[in-house]
Amino acid sequence: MTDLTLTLLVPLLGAILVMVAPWGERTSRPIGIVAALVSLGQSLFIVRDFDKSIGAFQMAVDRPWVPSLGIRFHLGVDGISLWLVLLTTLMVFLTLLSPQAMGLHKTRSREFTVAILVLEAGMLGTFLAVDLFAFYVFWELMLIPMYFIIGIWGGERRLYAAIKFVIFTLVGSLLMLAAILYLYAQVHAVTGQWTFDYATWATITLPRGPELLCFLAFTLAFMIKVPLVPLHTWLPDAHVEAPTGGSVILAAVLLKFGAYGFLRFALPFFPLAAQQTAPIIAWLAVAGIIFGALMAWVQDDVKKLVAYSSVSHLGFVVLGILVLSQKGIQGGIFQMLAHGISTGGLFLAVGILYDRRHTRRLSDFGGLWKPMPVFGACFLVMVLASAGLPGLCGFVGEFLVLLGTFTAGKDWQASGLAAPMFAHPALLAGLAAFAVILAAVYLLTTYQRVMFGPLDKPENRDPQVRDLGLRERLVFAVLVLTALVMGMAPQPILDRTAASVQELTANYRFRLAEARANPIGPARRVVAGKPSARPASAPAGTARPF
Amino acid sequence: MGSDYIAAALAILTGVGMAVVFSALARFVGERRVTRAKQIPYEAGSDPVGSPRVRMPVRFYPVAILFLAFDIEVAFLYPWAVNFASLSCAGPLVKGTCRAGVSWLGLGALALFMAVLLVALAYVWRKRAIGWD
Amino acid sequence: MTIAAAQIVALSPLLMITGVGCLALLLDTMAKGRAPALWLAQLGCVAALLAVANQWMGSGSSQPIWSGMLIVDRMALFLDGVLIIAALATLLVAAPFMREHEFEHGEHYALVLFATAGGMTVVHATHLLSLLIGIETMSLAAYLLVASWRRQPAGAEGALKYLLLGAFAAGFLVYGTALVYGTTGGEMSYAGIAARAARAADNPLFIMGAYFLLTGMLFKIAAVPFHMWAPDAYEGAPTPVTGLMASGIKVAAVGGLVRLLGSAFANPGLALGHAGWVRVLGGIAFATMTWGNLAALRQENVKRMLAYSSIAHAGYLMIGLVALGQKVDGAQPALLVYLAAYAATTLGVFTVVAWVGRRDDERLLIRDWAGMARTRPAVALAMTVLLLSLAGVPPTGGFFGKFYVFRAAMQSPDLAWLVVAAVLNSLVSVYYYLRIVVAMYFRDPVRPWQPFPSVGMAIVLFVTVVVVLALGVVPRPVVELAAGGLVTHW
Repeated sequence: MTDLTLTLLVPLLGAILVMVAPWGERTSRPIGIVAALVSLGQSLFIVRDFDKSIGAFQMAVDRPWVPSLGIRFHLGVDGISLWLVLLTTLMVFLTLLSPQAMGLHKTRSREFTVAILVLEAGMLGTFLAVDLFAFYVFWELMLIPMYFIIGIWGGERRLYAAIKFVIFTLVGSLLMLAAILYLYAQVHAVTGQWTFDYATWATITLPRGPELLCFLAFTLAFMIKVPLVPLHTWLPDAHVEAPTGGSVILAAVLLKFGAYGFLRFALPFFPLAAQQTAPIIAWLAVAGIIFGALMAWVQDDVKKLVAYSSVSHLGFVVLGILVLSQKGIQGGIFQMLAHGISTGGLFLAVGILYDRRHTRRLSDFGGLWKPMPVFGACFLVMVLASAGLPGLCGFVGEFLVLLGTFTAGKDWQASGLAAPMFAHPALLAGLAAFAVILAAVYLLTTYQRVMFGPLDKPENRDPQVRDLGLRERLVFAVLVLTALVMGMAPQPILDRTAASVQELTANYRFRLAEARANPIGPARRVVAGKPSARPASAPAGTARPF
Repeated sequence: MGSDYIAAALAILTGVGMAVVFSALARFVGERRVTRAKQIPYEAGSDPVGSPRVRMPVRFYPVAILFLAFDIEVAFLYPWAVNFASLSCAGPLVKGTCRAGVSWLGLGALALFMAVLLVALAYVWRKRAIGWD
Repeated sequence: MTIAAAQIVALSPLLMITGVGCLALLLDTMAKGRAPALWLAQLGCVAALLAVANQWMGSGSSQPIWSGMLIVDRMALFLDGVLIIAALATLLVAAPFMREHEFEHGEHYALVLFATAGGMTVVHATHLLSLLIGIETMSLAAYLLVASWRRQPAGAEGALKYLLLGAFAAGFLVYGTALVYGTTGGEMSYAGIAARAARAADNPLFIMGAYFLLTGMLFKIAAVPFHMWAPDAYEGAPTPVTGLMASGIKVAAVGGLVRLLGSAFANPGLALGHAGWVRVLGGIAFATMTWGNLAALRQENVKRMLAYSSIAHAGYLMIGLVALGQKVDGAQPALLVYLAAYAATTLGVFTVVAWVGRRDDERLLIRDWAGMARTRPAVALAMTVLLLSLAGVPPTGGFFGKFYVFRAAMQSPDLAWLVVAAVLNSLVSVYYYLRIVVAMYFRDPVRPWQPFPSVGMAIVLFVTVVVVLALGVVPRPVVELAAGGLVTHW
């Protein structure tokens, strides 16, 4: 068995080692790379030991943390988080390996490595936490390192971008904290015990008003992270100003927490509110898909372009999750992974371009294939993966999401969902599919303008613009290979997510039916098969809505 | 109306009466010689009219403060003295007499009190706040 | 009326701190240099801490002392520990600070102990008179400490403001005491007041007395609208003293309030209802945290900013007091944990502020801190951790304390709005705490800077950061300690 605590500890220990290592700057990066490699190996072990027939959490670590408050150090991995953990460790490793991670800055690599490793611990903890308190602690732990990464190693307007990132993220997460506290008190009122246990929380149905408020609080936190239009304005700023490594981690992993949290917490905790607001969110997701694509099309800054394409691609994830069918959710999860690889790769590519040319304006490039053929090939694979070419990773996720949305009406009926999540799924699918074409247009145009065309600018010529170095080649080799494998053989990934998604959707269906059947009930515990009222021991009146 | 009030009234009468008698005696019996010093309200010599912002040597203040501090402390001795009987009795007083053993509480409390005062005294002494120069 | 030896032993921490304070005062006048007084004071703190530990191990039951003037129970011992550690940290930081700024007084060390003794009396008090004596002892020492930095003109201004408003607050306390005494038929002990409160609750004079007492205490914790003195006094005071005011004195005042509100005025007729103090304090809590945070946004001086931040924290603490009035589960341990975390954080923060300034280069403006992460990465990191704790970002003690207090308040549906307001307030606070981080990490140094080396400060900083992180990562021991101090009746 693999110990999940160790998975969290390795990056933290690495960070401490880097901090106290007497050799300072020079050895910090190698130590960091080793730590990241070890945790990558650990997550591979987790994948190896994962039992795909189980839908519940596996390899659980469950120790008391603050027993009197019901806080437990409870970690576990299931089909939803399994691959995201692997994605996290992989991307962190590649980021540290990449020579451009700090952008143009060459100093303070020790602090950078520490920030990335602490960030990794936070990200892994957030994916693995089964206890809501632990989840929140890790969730916030991600905030500060990213703030430093943008603020210290960022571009011109880094202060503005960094504080905007923090404020946007914190608005959501602090409201979520209030909702978590409210739920915590409600769980106590209903069950008579203080607990942060995910499984218990997922059986509590709140009265309607508070349910909606808490759902909105959770969803706001997650949708800012995704980001969903119109909450996305922090993202282009953060991406443009962040150093390459920051952008890669931000796009490849951090944005996933929005969708992950929505799927993991917002839907199971607040089934009725989710169903009621699903049309709005679905339309916003589709609006984001199209808006992001259109915005990407008109950008002159390559990095901003990739950032807006991120907005577009993550709209698919939200849409797929909201469909709440096996296909949709699995497609959403796959799209998260694919986006992590392809957009991470694109940001790395942009970082290399910026490193060679110190500019990100499309009009400054042209004809780069000649001096950088290897880079050109890798960049091409990433562009095509992002555009959703069949055979590469981007295709599978988008296809599944679109298919799931298209057939959603039938799926909902067949599975016995108490009410449709949103109207006109086919229309939404059609609109989203339109954006796939847009993506091909803007991505390929970009590629063409950067790599082909006449090599008419002297600064784009050879000695100044070198092709990929050894470490860069290694990074891209891993990315290209992953994109290919995921595109050619998605089944192993989908297999391991199936059971957990099935459990989640089944539980959702059951609880939605119960919530719709008792629209004005008090806070109560709903366990499959036996809905029960509050036990008599709980003090009366504490379960009132606020 | 108890007899207590008669005593109080007598005390007030005596007080007022003595004041009146002495003033009257001074007016009628005494010899009068008017000097400048006698015409001013404060015989200590300070002029009550003039700028209120008189420059005073700062040494007055420590002396005044120390005087107040140590003088006020004495006021605490009165309630202690009044209750000394009950404070030094290990049990409750029965009709003003102590039937139980001796308690050192009263003496101990005052000793502690005086010790704190002594610390203060020693401190100001060592800091040369008592002398005039 | 007797005093058993057991009572003296039970009160030994308080007696030790007072006695050592007196001795340090004397020793300073006899010995050569300031070092002996300092060492004596520090040893006294350590001894008193051991005495606290001894009491804690001894008996868990609470025992009244001196016919109910004071009480020794787990809560008081817990806060004693916090206060003594705050005093020890202040001593460790104050010595090098005063040496650097050339105003070293031996009295300073004694006064720190006297302020602490006053604070300890406050948290032990179960009688309005002992409360008053404790508050006054603590405050008088604090006024002097604030004024002790004579070269600093702001010091005199701050001290005078503090003294005048403090005297005003004392007036409120005394007047309130008199009214309560009169309307309850001569009761001044908390238990006695609580016993008569049900009948006296209809008497407007009694209510007025209760609110006067509350007002006097709110002055001491710098709650809006009684906070005017705080920014000036915090700015003018020598920085280690500012640390003591923000940690020790606030802890003591809140501890006194917990006792006062938790027992004497706990009567539901007095606490709940339209004019009940729960509602009033809730409003004041909201005003305090909001005003403190908004005002802190505009500050350029680090000490003033931290003063407003301390006002905001008084607001968060009052949420716990309000929850106490609603009689929810765990309000009191939550307050104790919050106080411990807050005290540790504040002491650390002011240690850094004290350490940064040199005699000829105060460096009190935020922009003066630019580039500190380059020259002193460890201190910058420590400061960042402490600021995040003040902002309530996990995994720090500040977050856990807030979480614990909010948890208590969330149990009452009437207080949910207050929790949401507090949570949004911490968002505002993140902005101004991060301004210091921005200066330290994101900006280039403005002028060369040579911090002075001090072992004492390094120790305090290291210990506070470790404590703050430990409270965030493994809060269990402190939670259990705080829960051991449950006060139910005495």
